Amino acid sequence: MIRFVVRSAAARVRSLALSVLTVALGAGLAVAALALQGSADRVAAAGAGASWELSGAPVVVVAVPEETGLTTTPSGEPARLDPATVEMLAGLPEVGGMEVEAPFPAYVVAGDRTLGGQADRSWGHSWVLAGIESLTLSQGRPPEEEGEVVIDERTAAEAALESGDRTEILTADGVDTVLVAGVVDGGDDGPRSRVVLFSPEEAAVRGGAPVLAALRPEEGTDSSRLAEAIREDVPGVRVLTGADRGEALVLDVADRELASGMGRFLGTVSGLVLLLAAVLVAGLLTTAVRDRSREFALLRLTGATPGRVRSLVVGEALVLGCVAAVLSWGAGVLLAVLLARFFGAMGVLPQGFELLVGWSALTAGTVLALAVPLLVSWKPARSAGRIAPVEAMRTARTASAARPRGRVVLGAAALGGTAVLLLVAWGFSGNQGAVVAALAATALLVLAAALLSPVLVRGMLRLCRPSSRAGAVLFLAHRDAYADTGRVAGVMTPLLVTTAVACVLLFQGPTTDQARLHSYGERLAADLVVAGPVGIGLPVTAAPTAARVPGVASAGGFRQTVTTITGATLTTYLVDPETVADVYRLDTEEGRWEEFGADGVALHTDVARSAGLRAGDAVTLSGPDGEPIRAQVAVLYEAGLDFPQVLLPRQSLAPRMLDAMESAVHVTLDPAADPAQVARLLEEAIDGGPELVVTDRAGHLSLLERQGEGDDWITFLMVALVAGFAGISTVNTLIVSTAGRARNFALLRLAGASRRQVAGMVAGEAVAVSAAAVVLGTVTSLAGLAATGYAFTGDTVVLAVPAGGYALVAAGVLILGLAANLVPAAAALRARPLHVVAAHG
Amino acid sequence: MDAAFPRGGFTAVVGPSGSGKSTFLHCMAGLERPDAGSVLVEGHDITRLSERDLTRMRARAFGFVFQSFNLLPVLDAEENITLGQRLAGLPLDEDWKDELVESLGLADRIHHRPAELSGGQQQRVAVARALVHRPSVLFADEPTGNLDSRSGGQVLEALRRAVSDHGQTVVMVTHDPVAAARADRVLFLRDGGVEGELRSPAPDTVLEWIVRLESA
Repeated sequence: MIRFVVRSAAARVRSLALSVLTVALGAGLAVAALALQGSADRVAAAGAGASWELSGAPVVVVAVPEETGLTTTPSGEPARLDPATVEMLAGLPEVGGMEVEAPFPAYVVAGDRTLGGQADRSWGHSWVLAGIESLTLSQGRPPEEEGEVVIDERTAAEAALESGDRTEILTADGVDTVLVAGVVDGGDDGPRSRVVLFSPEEAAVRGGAPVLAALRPEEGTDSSRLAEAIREDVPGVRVLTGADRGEALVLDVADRELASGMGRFLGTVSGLVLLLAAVLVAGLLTTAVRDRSREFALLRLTGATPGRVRSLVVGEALVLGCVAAVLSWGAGVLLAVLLARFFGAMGVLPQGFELLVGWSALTAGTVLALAVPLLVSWKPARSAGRIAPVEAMRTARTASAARPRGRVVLGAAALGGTAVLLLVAWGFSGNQGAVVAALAATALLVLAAALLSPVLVRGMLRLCRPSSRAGAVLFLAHRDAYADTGRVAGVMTPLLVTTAVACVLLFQGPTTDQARLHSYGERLAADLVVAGPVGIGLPVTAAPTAARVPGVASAGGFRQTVTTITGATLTTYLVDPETVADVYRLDTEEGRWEEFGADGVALHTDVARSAGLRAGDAVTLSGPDGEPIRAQVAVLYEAGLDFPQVLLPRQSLAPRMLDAMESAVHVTLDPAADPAQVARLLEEAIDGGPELVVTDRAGHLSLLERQGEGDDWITFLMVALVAGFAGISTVNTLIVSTAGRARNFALLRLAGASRRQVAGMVAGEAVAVSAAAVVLGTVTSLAGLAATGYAFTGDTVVLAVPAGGYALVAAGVLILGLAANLVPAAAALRARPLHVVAAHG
Repeated sequence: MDAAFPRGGFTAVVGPSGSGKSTFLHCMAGLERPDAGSVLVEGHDITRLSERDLTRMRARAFGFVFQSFNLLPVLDAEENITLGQRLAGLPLDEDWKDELVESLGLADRIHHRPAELSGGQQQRVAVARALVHRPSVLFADEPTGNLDSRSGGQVLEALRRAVSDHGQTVVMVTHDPVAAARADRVLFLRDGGVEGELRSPAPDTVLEWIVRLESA
């Protein structure tokens, strides 16, 4: 039996090779995803890139937060050392010297722009950090007094600054003019992020409570003894020595985001790819079983039991899986190297990233490569086992026009499930659950379309019947398709799924962004919005300054962060409580905004409901640094999904945040004020650097929309990977499908059809099938996305489909369908018709 | 070998296995190109025609009947019969088609697909398809090879009437002496050459020839 399976597989090596490639690529991508994630995790475990090694300090001490959960999130803040701990450390007899460090945002302003941004932060530090990090001056001297700084070489070059020049810097306190006392070397071992080094005295004033203490042992004491002493005598701290010191000062948000973001991204891609692989291999095996029905009938005729025939199909799937598993290792390593290079080129790999393809990744690839073909071979194997021996005796072949009942029932069930989920999304719109339901409905709708594709094909062909009278080619194409709707559906399904997946990936982001902006616009009561450079923000003085401008009724700034209540991570704004009712349009369910003061907290009703909280209750939240915030619930407010779930008074958390800048300031005007004039006055009054902008509400929303447009290379990469894979697999399916029709083509040629006519028939069918797949894929995915948009806003259907992106997807699928049909058909037509007919019996 | 096939004649080509009967027929019909020599049809050497012209020639001037019927499984009997006309973009002579369908006994099976027809019915559909465009020559390769004697008889009768009643030219390859005896003339082949010829053949005489050729 085994020999027979292997021989049978070997005899069909060409068509199996394509299936092997499909599975190997899917499993290879999973190997690459796991390898990259594993490598990124290792870097994260070793201190998330350790951009600061702090090698000049034998022992580094950091605070241990009460709750550590949040410190691993992208918005994690380091806990601060309290003054008593700092005093205790300094008083230890083993300590020979101690320096503390408290970074703060500090950006060099060059001409009309501020250097840095969201993924390229610029931090102010004490000059002592340069000594601890062994940074060397390439120009000038250290900063010695207030108003003097040393900057890194990259920033100096971009701003065309040299030591001795004067420049402006933007900090949370506003814009100050400073003297560039020197420039530090930014060589290979230099700091990765931008640095602005201040004199220790000035840094201490600007930075607040320290995040770390760097200690030297007393002469005659070794550093391990010092570390031991601190562990014994000072509670609530973590003592770091050796390479662990790199964990003390991790400020590069991009590294942290990548560590979790890359995993999410690659996990999504490999999940999608494996799902596609399963669908496509199932289609391939089904097509292959149909094409080989006579062969199976002959086997049955010669005495093979149905079980034997089933084993043959499953056995071939196993052979396919084994070869694919081996190939997946090579494909996985190659893809991992290429993806690592790509991510490296995009500048998003954490520092110190080294690719290592571990055994766990290879094992996972092997398991997937074996599991996918084995699982999906079950149904084709059952079909093969049911083929009657008499089929071998038939002189004419015709495909069964019967609709597979199980598939139709499943498709109808999926359609019913979609309807239920859409109702849930509609009923609970404006709630996170509704969005999840709408997204699930999208996936289920695409699945339903794929399952019902034979029925849909029959319906469409019925509609097209009149056009089949227009000529021999159309007549043949129509009849050929109508006679075997299963084959046509098998060709259409991967194209449909490719279109739908590409549409969802490409347009979900813009749709969600637009829905978010719509809801945000609905909640925003402010007449004007003051914003600073993108990703940097405004000084804390911006809001009080704005409030003093004539014509301004109220001005409130906010800062974005995260907190937790009972383990759930919640988006949080730090606000000026007295301005909330003026600048936001929020319905209150319980409590009053007048009661929202310095020790209060305002909660989204959904959060309050799930945590069992009511107005007046005391609650303990955890800050992004893991330290507690105790507050009394003042207000429960209603808001869409766009709006933060928690509003906290600024002072409850601001001193503990590294990023001390305001995200923006919302301004409401006196009824008689002229918005344009107030905007001008605000621009003049607020000390926010050259990129400060004051816009009205609509202008602010369109500015946010534009900012959201630029950052979707990761989506394009995901679409390229998934669509590329789906494309290869689709070609694979189509090649097998078209090659299986070689006998029919030969018969047509014998009946007098020219090559051009047969090619025209194939092309006609390909265009129709691809166009139908594009239409169905578009309709299903966009219907789901529109529902998601509605679920998000709760009051309007939002659907953002950039015409250029969509045209690319549609044209890509059409070209793919046409090429993948015509190329193998052309190859099949090259053979002499008589030989083909003789060979196919 | 040299052989001529007069217009309006019914010629059977007979010979033992491997004698080259089918290759001879395929070359005459332009389905295969001979390595050397020429095939003249109505004065035109079809070995010199391009693939495109040859396709056109086959569609307009030739009709084919094969041992394995070679009907399109996705089309019903009527669509199979008219397929060639449709492909060539030629008008269909409905009366002639109906006459063929009637005379071949296919009237009640005309909307059935090949899988729903018996072997004999399928071959009669193939004959109707081969004759519907009134070809200059109808080539038949073992047309009764897959049929029982009754069905085979119906097919041979159809071919005979095409010649006798409608003046068409038929060239038929067969190894069946009874089938060959329905022709006006039998050409005997052996090892790629013409061994002899028999006019107004009787089954016994054809059988004798076959026995002689096979034992030689």
